[in-house]
Amino acid sequence: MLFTSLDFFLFLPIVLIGYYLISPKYRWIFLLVASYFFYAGWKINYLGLIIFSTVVDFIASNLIFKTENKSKRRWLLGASLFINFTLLIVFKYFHFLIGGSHWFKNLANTNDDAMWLQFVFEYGIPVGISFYTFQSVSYVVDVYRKRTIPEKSFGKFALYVTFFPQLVAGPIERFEHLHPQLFKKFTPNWQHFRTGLQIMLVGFFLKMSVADNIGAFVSPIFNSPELYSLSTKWLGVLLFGIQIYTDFNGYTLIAIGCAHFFGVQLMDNFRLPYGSYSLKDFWSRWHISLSTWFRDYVYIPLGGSKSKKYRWFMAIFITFFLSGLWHGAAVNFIYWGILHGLYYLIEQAFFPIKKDRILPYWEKSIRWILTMSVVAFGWLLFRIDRMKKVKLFFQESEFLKTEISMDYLLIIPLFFFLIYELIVRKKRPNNFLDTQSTTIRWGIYLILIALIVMFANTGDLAFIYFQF
Amino acid sequence: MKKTLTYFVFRGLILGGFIILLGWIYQKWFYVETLNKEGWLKKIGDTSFSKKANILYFSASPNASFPESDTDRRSIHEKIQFYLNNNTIEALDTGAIHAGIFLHALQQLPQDYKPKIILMDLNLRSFGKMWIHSGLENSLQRNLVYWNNYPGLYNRIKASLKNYPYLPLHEREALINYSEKFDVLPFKKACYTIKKWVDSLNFRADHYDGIGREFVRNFGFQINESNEMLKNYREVVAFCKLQKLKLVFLILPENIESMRKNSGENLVKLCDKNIKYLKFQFKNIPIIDLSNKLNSSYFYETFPTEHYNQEGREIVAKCVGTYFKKLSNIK
Repeated sequence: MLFTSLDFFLFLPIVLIGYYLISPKYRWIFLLVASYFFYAGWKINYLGLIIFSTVVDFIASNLIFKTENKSKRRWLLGASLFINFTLLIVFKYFHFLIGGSHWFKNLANTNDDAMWLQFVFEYGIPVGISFYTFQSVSYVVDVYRKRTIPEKSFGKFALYVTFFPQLVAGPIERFEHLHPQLFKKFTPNWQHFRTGLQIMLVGFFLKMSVADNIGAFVSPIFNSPELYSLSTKWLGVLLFGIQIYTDFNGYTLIAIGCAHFFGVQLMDNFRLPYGSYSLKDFWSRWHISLSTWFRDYVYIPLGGSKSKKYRWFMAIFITFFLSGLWHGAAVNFIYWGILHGLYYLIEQAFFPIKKDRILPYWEKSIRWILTMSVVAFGWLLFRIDRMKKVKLFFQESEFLKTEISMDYLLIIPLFFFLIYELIVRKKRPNNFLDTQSTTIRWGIYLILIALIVMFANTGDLAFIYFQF
Repeated sequence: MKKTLTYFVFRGLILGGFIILLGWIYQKWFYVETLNKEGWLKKIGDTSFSKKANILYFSASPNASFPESDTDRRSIHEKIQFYLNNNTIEALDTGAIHAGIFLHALQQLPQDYKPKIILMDLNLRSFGKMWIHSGLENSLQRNLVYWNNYPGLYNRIKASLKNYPYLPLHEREALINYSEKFDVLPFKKACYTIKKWVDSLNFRADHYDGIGREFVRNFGFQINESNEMLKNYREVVAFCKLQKLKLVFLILPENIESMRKNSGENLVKLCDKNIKYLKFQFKNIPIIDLSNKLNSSYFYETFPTEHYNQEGREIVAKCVGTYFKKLSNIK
């Protein structure tokens, strides 16, 4: 169920009432059932998949913990990773890997034993599979590295995997951060509510009023770039950058706010990413839970920055390549990853920012323009559905150009978003709001409510990151 | 306790007052534009229900679609008007509209307005899954959210929270795929399901092209009791009976010639069977059956549609007009 649907507005209060009324001892069971219900709301067929993945990682982690035999531990870790990534490949990358081959499709249609293939073809990618797989994998690897003691109760581990606010699009939480919070003694109070509501309000504004209205403007440009002028196309690319940021950050804030109601503080995912002066800086502010995951489980095991130069080059390149692939089973995401990887290497090789060096204003400006140009071009690759279309963004339209109107639904929310970014900057919205006087705080609440109820988009746009 | 209560009551009042103010602002300055963009069905409905017409024609895109080359750009209902003496006809039409929306439209008729005749397309294609789960269905359902007298802001919130029968496009496609794979047709072997039928066309060079496949996907269904559209039409019939409105169904011409040529005789037989079934189901309702009336030259698109050129629209209008002339109660 979508956070921005009436179903969720009914689901959340019911879950909260139930959660608070139930004895604290059994609250986690209720939350687990609610989380499975939430996931089944997307497509009940895929509930089995997440349960299977949970069972595999639960068994693997406990077996790894029990044995001191190195090769056995390695074998168990390998088996868990193999199963997790096989599921991910089958359900997410299958179409991509088989390419245009009709052999599998024919097999699925003609052979009753291959019915499961039809399932894969017809039902699309299971929502959130990349997120919960990565979360689960981080846990098994941490157990293997003896950084985490495995959970002995299957239900409690299952709640760590499926905790509904962050189940389908993160933040990708680590076991040692999320798990203790889910089971600690929690007495709800007004402050929890207030903070949760404050964060969610900003999240709904970013998603419903800003991201979705930009999406309605941007989609036709990316669908048929041949019909628009060069300047309109690049305006579309820049606006897509804001769309994806407000869409994903909006989702994350709703998730963080929602988790507050249950006494859980999820990690931050964004810290003013478009204020970055370098790509390195950008990746420390954009989708933080994923970039730190790749740092800890790919980049550092590959050698990290302390290895020899050629290994470090490879580590950076592989990390970005995989990060691109994580985002989707399509060539454009791979190119997007490669672009970021290459520019990251160039930046670090030729003009790195030395630690503790204060940049003069002119250098900051140049670096910011360079970084944002790469990021914007990256968004073009990210959003395009066919690589052939990229060249259309570098040539004028040969056809009669379609006029595009910037109506109030786009301009008003965009204006307030820019003010929001400039004022709140790296803080969480609640931290900013709490420092304001009651009058100003309520003024902001009312403006946000007005922007949501009057300007929320009514179209068909789901959260962008749900597809990953 | 008293302090807490005052705290919440005071803030609740501010919030309530603010929402009322927003509602007023929205209604005054923004709602008309929202209706133009998203609630156009209401606007079309309001125009159609101008209370002048004594014949209301409920149609989909065929009524007002025409090729660029047409010199006579009158819609079917405007052409029908030519055959009516003192009676006037108005139409409610938009792409992919169907009986479910027609029913809603009928329920929105002003209390003091009773047209003498409701002429309604009994659109054969609308009984198929391709139409039922068309990509335009979400937009039509969202339109209905605005077609009432509730405050504009309330309607908008409902629409933005998708509080209407909403299905993501990929799920609609999955439902069509499922139906094409598992709905059984009254044929053996190659035409047992749509999927098999379409695949069999791939191997038949004499028939196969994209058009043949699209005809099969659009007309390859067997109407039965569980058909959603049949239920909608039944509700329309029941509503008209209750409101004492005279209902006439119109089965528009289909491109049978192209269907036969590109998809084979089986599909034509299936269409005939479905039309017979519909006639039997609605035997108490007058039905103008024009399904076989036009050959391919009157259709200006090769894709399966009911879009006719000016001559085609003229023939349809003439048939309907002649039928109305015979009806004594509107003379």
